[in-house]
Amino acid sequence: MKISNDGRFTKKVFDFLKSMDVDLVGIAPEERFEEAPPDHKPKDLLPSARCVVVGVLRQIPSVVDSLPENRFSYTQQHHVFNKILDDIGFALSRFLEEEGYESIHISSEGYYEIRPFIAYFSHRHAAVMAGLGELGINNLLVTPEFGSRVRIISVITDAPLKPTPRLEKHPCKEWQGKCKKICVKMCPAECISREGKLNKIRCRFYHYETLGSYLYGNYVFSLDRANLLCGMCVKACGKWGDFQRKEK
Amino acid sequence: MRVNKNKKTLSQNITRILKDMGASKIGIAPAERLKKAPKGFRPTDILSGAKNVIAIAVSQIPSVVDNVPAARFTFSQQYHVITRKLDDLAMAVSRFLDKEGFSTVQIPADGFYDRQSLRAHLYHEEAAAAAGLGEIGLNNMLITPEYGARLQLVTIVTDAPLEASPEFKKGLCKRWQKKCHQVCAKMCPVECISEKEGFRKELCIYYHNKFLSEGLHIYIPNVLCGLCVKACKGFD
Repeated sequence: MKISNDGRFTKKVFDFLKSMDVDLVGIAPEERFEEAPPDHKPKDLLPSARCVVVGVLRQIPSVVDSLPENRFSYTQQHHVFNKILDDIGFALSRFLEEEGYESIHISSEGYYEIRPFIAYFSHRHAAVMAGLGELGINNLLVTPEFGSRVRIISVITDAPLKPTPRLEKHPCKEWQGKCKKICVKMCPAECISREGKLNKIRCRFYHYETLGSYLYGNYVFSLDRANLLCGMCVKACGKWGDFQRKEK
Repeated sequence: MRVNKNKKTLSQNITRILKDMGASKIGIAPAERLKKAPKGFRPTDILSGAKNVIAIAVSQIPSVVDNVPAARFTFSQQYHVITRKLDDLAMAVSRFLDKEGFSTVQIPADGFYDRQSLRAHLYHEEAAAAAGLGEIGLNNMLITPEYGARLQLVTIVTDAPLEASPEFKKGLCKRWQKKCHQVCAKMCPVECISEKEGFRKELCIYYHNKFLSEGLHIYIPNVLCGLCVKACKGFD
């Protein structure tokens, strides 16, 4: 194992991601994942894992704001972001491998287990552990900067990087006085409970039943042969207040 | 968040990003040039406060198009790859404008249309023609002096102040018709194209769904005809 100066190499990783237009970068040490379900911890994917590098990209606000009218643009944006995220994850993996570390990039999207209803590695939880945000009532990552209008990519690695601190305040809880849990009301399928429990099966079902045909309103469509996306809970959670990340 | 940016620098930056990513032609149309579009299909209906429309074109590989229908599968694959490339280009511009503090909505390159009017909510061809890339020809496609009809398009609507491209001088198709004698109308297997009746989209869509992709895709086909693209290679 190569021993390097933590701080310097961490900065190199940050600079690398910033050069790829990543808006927020955080590093979650492996120890913070103790509560993750079995087989979904960083060490289950990479036995030598030391930390997870998490990058967050901001979505285009005007597209999200104009949902549901511009749902085609939103869906296309989602798919293009998947490609951008995969490119970033892959590039970072290569960068770390060239520096002599093992790393595994997690695919931006594409599969989940039916039981339990989760992906093999959760980008959202990794982002929380890296201090980029917290999980909101809508079950999405809520960041102080962009609300839920973000996309996430994570890379598991054994590089000894300097962890970023977790958020001290919970943006979703901070904002609830103003937004009055609008995400609960905005969900067209009523999947979100006021306590923050998400009925994932119902959400999936809504996507298949209402958005999954070739017809949407007056439109006929087929974008990348994929479903249209709802996105209303993403729309609900923009930036609701002046919550600021504490600079260390 | 509104930043006062120099119109010229902003337009130049966009052009540079797009050229670097492999766009063939780029044009900018002020939103007013598209106000004649039907209600619900204008840039301002997509983004309230829209000021400009950015039109991007990526050219197709001529030898593939020339060998349609023999190379029809290659042509179809090329079409879908370019569609995805256009989406990437549109997103790159959108992300750039967003970071500069402007509102922006990118329209998917392909994939949806209104059932009644058979048009997408922003018509890429009209946007591109308004942005000075070319004109809409007899075959209902954008034709340009450099590439004929062998282009694919994507559009971004934004409220950023940008430098408008000069309008295109109409008459290209008419001029070429002296040489091509409306070869696109003759080549269309279902006779969608005629000067008198205009372009009959429903026939074109029916042909694609019934004869080219039946059972594969119900509405928007995997396999494409492409003969009217082949017809118009440019005749200067």
